[in-house]
Amino acid sequence: MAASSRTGTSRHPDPDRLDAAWFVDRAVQFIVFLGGISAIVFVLGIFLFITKEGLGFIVHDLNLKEFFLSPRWVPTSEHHPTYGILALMAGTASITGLAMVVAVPFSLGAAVYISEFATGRTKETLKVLVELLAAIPSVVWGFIGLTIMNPLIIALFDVPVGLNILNAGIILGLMAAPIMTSISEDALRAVPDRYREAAEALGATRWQLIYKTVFPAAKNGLLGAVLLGVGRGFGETMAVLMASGHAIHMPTSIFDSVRALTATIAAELGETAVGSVHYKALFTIGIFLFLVTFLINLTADLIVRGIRKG
Amino acid sequence: MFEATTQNRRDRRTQTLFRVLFGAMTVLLIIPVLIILGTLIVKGGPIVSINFLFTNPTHGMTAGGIFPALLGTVWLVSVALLASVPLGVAAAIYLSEYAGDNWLTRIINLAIINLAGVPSIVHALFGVGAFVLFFEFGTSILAASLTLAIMTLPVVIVSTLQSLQSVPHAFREACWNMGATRWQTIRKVVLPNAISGILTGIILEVSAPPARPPRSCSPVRCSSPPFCPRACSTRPWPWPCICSWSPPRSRTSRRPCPSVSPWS
Amino acid sequence: MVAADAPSTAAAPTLLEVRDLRIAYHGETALQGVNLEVREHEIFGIIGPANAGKTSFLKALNRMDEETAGMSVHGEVVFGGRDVRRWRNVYALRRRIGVVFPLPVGLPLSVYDNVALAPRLAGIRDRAELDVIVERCLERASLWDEVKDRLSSLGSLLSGGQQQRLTIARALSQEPQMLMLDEFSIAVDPVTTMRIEDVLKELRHEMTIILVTNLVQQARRLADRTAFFLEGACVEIGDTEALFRGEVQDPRTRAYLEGRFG
Repeated sequence: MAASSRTGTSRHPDPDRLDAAWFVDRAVQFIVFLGGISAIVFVLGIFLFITKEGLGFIVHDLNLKEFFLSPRWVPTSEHHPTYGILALMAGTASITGLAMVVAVPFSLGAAVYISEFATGRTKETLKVLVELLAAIPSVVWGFIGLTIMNPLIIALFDVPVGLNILNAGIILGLMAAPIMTSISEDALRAVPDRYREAAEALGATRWQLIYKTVFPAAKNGLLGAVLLGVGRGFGETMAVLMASGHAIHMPTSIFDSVRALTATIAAELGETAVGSVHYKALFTIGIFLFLVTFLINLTADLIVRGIRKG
Repeated sequence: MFEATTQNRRDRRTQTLFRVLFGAMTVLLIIPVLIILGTLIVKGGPIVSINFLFTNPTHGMTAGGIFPALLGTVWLVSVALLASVPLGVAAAIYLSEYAGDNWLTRIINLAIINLAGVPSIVHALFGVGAFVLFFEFGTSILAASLTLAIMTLPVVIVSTLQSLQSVPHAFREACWNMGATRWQTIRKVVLPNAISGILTGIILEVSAPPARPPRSCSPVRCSSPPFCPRACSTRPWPWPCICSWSPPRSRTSRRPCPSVSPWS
Repeated sequence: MVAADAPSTAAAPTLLEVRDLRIAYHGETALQGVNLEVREHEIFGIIGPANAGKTSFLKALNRMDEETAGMSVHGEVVFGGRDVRRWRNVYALRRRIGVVFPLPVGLPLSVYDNVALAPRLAGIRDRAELDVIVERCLERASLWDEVKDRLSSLGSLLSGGQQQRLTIARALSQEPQMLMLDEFSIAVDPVTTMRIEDVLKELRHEMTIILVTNLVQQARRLADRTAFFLEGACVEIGDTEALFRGEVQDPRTRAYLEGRFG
């Protein structure tokens, strides 16, 4: 059979041309790149704009010692307005703290149950129900805090006011729980099955296997999940606003009403004049919140990523 | 030969104990959902009707329907989606198909996480500072939607990214080996394969934010009478206070409407 | 035995020339100092145990190393008279080289669209023309009879053997100058393997074929010349029959051909 009369390149007249497809690909690459960095642009933009509004306060009126160490937040005082956020920070910390105490064990427990013990339909149903928990709007949670938890706490514990740390803490815990549960569950699921199989082959029971092999392997993911839950709780506004009461003071018991940083901004911004010192002070609180959540998220990411690399 | 030893029995007891414990925790976590859903359905169910959906509220928002709020939410979410979906899908395509494993990609990922984790009140502050004041959109649906768009952006990116990454890499390699460009591969194989996941993701994930009060409403002043927060402030109203159209306010306006404090 | 009707390739012009090719993954050398040339219309076999660098070698030829993270390639690969790394349009380069992978990949498009993909990307829109191309490619890949009544069914739902032939049909639709097959028979039944081998014997008249295989006998059946890769180096290249007769230069080659390792 005669060999084909074609020689190498005659079939393809100068194929090394930059054709339309090549240019379109480059263009698309550029466009999606813009989309990709848009996230960075927006984060920077957020920081920029809130700093712009709060800068006046930081430059002129901010007394660092008073800001961070004084529990007196009285920006509307006629003669001597003070801008100490210590009480507000205590409010945020106590509510978030209680929320974590409530949420962490339950979320981890639920994550372990769903990931390691539950099977088939039960597993799917449970996952859906936990996701549903996340879908409840924060206003509804606040509403529950106001109308259900409030009288419940007053009745159960015989205290005068039911809008307090306990109320907001439980609500916040329930709000942060779904995130922690699903990320913990992801972390647990990421542990390869061979770890479990090896442990089972050695005769370990389900629980021993979880405790001794799966937990250590997933611990960074779990830690990341907790941190993300903290971040969520820290930044929650509406529910906390409605359920924690209104008192700006250093709390001494979980039945005290407190005010959180986020709630303060939400409650007071409407009453300030644009550009006033109070207005700028609130923006400064916003800057503080942004930086803290940034740090929390950065740490959580480093921890979770650290394990993925190791 | 395989009799249960005391050690075995103890292990088994521990195992059952923990199984029950964790199961109980899961159930406790879920109970609130069921209670809430139950209460909402029982108390609210009988009221929901076509009439309810399409009439205006009356008697100071204690009776009547929810039509304006519904309409406002629809507008708000539509504009927000219009802004965030194309941008989010583009970003996800970049991350999934084009981005290399370098520091820029890490920073982008960090930015997305932070964007998602920023407290909603800070988003609101940003909305005020940027859209209401700087760009002088005033307290309007546009300002609120754009703020909402930025809030939903990370969610769109992450969910689209997951759908794209679930397309097996072998498909892409087969196309590249054939001489298809990245975009041709995406257009002809990856996207068609992932599109259903992307759409479901967007619908599911984005249905959450409208449930959270568009943050721009707390600091952003609502203006027209049926929705003036003053009315909201007389009783807790579990609906987002939807701002309606209003002309951009000048920078020098002093006291805008009172804030949304659903009690006082 | 190499088919009796195979054209003599000794005097054919060189299509591909590889000079001092070095491949590394994240700094670790995977292949070094490979020098070889492939002539037009020959079936060039590459045999060797796993991890010898055979697949990396193929990747370097059509610049797919650029899509693999951490892979670096040095040296020259001259294809059709020009170093592949100097081509401006890498996609045009890849269009001229068809690839068949170890695991069959049926794209999640209809069988028709699978085969019509490359022509469509090349700009052919006319339905009638595409019909002709699709039928011809499927026919030559020995798949037409089995799918002609279900051209619109999903390509990824075909059986493994069918998907592998579909991959070949796709490669043929590119009208490539060179076809590279990387252990194509791993996931495919012996009957399909035989059919594909027959297809390859026909295809050699129109294109050049590089056949990487872990089946030593397959090389013997198909390849004109064979290269033996071992642990990241090309140990020896020679006329297939001669190698199998024992006229080897390196004792390791004989050991491998006799099945003593790998």
